[in-house]
Amino acid sequence: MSRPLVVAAILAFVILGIAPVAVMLARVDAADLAGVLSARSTALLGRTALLGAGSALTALVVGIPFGFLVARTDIPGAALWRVASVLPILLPPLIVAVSWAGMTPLRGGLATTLVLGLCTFPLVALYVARACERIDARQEEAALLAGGLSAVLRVELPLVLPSALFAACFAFVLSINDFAVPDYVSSIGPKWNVYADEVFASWRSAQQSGPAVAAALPLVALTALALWPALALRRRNTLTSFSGDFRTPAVLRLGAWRWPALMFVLAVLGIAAFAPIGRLVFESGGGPRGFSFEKMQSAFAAAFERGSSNIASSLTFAVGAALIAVPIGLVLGHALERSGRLGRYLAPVALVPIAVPAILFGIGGIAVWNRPSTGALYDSGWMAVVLFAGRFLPFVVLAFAAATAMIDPRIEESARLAGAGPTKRLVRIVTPALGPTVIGSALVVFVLSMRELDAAILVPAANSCVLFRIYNAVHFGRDDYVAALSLLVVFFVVAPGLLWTLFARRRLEVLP
Amino acid sequence: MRHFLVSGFAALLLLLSACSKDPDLVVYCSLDQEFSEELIQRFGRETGLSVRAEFDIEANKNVGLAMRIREEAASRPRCDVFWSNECAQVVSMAEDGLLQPYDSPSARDIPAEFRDVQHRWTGFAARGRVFIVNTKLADPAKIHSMWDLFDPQWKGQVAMARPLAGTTNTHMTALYLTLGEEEARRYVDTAAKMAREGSLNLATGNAHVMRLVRDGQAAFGWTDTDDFNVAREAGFPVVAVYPDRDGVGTLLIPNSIAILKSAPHTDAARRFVDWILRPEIEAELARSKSAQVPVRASVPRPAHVIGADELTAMKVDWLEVGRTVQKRTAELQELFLK
Amino acid sequence: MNAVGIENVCVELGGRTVLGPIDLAIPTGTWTLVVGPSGSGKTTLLRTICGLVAPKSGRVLLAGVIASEGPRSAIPPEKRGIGLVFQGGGAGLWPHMSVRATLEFVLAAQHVPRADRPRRVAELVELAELEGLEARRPGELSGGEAQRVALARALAHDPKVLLLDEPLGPLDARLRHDLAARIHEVHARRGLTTLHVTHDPLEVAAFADRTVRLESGRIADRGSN
Repeated sequence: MSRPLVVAAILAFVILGIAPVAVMLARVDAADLAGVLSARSTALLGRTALLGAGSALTALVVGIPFGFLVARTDIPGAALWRVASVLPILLPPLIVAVSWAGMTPLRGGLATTLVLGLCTFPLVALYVARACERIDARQEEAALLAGGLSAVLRVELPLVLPSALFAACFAFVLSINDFAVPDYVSSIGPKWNVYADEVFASWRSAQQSGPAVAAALPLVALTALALWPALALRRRNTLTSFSGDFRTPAVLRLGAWRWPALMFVLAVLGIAAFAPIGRLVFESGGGPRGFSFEKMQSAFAAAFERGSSNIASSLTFAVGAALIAVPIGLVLGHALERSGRLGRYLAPVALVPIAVPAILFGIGGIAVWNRPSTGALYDSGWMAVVLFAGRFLPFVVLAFAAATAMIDPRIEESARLAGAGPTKRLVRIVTPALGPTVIGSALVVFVLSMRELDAAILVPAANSCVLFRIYNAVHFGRDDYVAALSLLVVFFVVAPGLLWTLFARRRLEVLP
Repeated sequence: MRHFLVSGFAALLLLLSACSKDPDLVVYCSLDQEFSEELIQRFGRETGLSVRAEFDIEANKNVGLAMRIREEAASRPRCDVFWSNECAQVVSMAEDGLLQPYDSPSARDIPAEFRDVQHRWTGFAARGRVFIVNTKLADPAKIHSMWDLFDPQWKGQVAMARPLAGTTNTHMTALYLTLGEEEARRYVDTAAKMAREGSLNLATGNAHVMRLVRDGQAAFGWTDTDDFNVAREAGFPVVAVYPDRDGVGTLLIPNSIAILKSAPHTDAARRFVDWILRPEIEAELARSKSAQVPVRASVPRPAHVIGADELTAMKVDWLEVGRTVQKRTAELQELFLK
Repeated sequence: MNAVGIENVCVELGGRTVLGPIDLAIPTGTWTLVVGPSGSGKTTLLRTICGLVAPKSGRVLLAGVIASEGPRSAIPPEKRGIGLVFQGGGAGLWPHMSVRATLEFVLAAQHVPRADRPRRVAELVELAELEGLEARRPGELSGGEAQRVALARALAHDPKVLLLDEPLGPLDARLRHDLAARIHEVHARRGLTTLHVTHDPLEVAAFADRTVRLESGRIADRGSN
């Protein structure tokens, strides 16, 4: 490791990711903490934890078979469905919720759990798919000889379960921090409140920011509790079952189960991705008041005319955030993995920026950057870039740490013995070996930045983001225009990853 | 890879640097960008001033900009004028000493109830709190009072926004002052209880209430006149009912405009306030899709926009609303977030 | 003088003593076999000598100069003038670099003038019999070819000491014999001091000057061949 580079990366991480959180936490005093957990808010927290658990369970139940089927079996179009499986996580959950609410009578807690579970199942599916591919062929063949396909499944489930559970932790975290979906889905029928509502309401009712930050702490604690097992799973390297003498497993033939398996995969994708996107297409053409292609054309024309500068701004911010986050994350992730025990103790710190609600991070961003010395940055588009980079750095750090664990350390050792210094080793040896992770983690930051609004809304540059325009247009019932603009956003979010997957030789490593 | 990164950074630097020119005036505006942006740009064209306008999203219900103003005031003030689409937050800011007094000549003919006695803020172009009624599901003539929302015959068919932010929050706060503590408490208690049971649908906001009613998922519900107008213009079978004409009346929530005490460009700010508070602007906002109600009776308006003198306006002490809104919000939080 | 000196070295990994305390002197220019059962500390010994593992106690000397004392490293690995061929076919080769790029990288890291690099690369290619393979990447090489690339790489920075960790392991009998002979030729030509870890001492006994047997991290036997 290059010490100066690591120190610089740590400094950058602290400034971009830790400082906004630290300044907010510093405003909390003992008096603010008293009464944070009343009977009412504790009940909300409990319900929120149940929501998270339910969503994570849904993601597991759907994601494990899905990931296995698209990675290892002979279902038709497996590679295509694997690519398509990322669609649900790229769509803002509220869009999925609105589509569902329009298509089914399901409401309340159950609907919320299902929507969020289906929005996050791709995390589980992608991890399981990767884990399945890393089961040595000989292990599988031995099981096949012993008891056929069912024996294979019984042997392999425990092997992929750690990866699935790791992803489920993130599904839990994403679910408990969402307040838009529960709010929308329970608009008809009994209201189903969650703790994230409490956090938002506290910003309105508290006269000082201290009590509002204090109100967020239970949710932060719940988030941290969910991420802890994820770190433990990563630490035990249970996610990386490669050994030096690895034999790639063959495609499993499902026989009579092939077509039911395909139906399952299509049903999941249909509900989680194709239906919401289809609904958007329908709305863009006039929706229930009369669909026509002329209306769709007109809606897209309006979206391009009014929204193209916003799309350009959002793309610029997202690309900028990725360009900043990736080098920092690469240095830190590599250092975390290679520094042994110290890295294990520091790994939780890497999660701080995503462990707090977006609104808290955004206000912290104002406190850190709106100063005379950094005013020019705060007033410019750079503020959005800096905010996004700081907020999503944890994903990049963890992705590179995991990818570094997969690299044979001997390639670095041999470079060291050859005389290459730490910086040269990082640039010439490690980075090329992590190529797919570089692209993958850049894409993750890009996608999350395109979708981000809760923190971004608090900074000047937010006005030019495309989601800003979409949410405001929703207010005015311009459903066709909103749908068209949303589809454009989906296209720009999905396109880079899709193009890479279709045309690049190496697979993207996007996962932490 | 290296060349790509370097080129990427250079392009980014160029693009982002272009965003940071120093403006002559900074306006934070929570009236929908759809309506306010063009007006602000016109001011800039007419005066030659470069104006930077920053907006909020409806879902944030004014909270975002208010939080930003407070946070920025503590470190590096950058906002000159706050144009809010409601009043309570602005009054609250005034009470917290964040605003500077300015007696605009354009405001002289605005009724006194919409002006701060200390000239720290001025109200104009209001929205009314109304019931939007789907005429295929309910007879508007049979809906007279705010209490009709709780009539058992409408169980499960009525809606309102969760009253923790936005105009619904302001509305409930105002009820405490107009109905009295006990009656207002009964109102919000009933609403909260019905929401828990599912008899009253709590929507994500006024726009959502409008959608539920226009789409027939609810018979009627509380919304604002601008949201109602969106549904009306789109041809949905809806009418607006102004309840309690013989009682407390309709709450008119004005836009409010104020100059920040820490405004870096006070002169430009005053010019803008003078420009916005002109009757012509109120007339324009009345004609717009947001159908804002002029607070001046003399301002011409389209037929579908009710005049302030045509309805029973709720008598509201905005100073008290601003002073009590946070306390009431905390109480409403206890009631509605269960 | 001894090329390598190990004085009372003890190595702990994961809280467990895996090597030592041992004393060992490797005379300059000799070929020493290191044998022993799996887990006896053979690889750890090599890694300790080249500085990739820090001993808990004891001293490592190279040509009489202290390279490490206890966990403190006096000479970093890249400055110890040691070439290491890792265990496993082509292990540690850089997957994105061709044979030529690999050798050039090492020469560049050693600050060999650019003008001299083509000649040096050609010498190494000839030395390791890699003619015709210069443009290939590790994934395009056979096991034997990959091992020869690893050998060429280890020799690229003109080491004084060559450490071989079961270099013949993944190869068939004929290739093992050929590669062993080739390595011995290089050892003799360049006057290297070679430590060769192997499971099959008979195979290379003809080349070796002495054999050191490790068992449970201790030297069980040291003898001349």
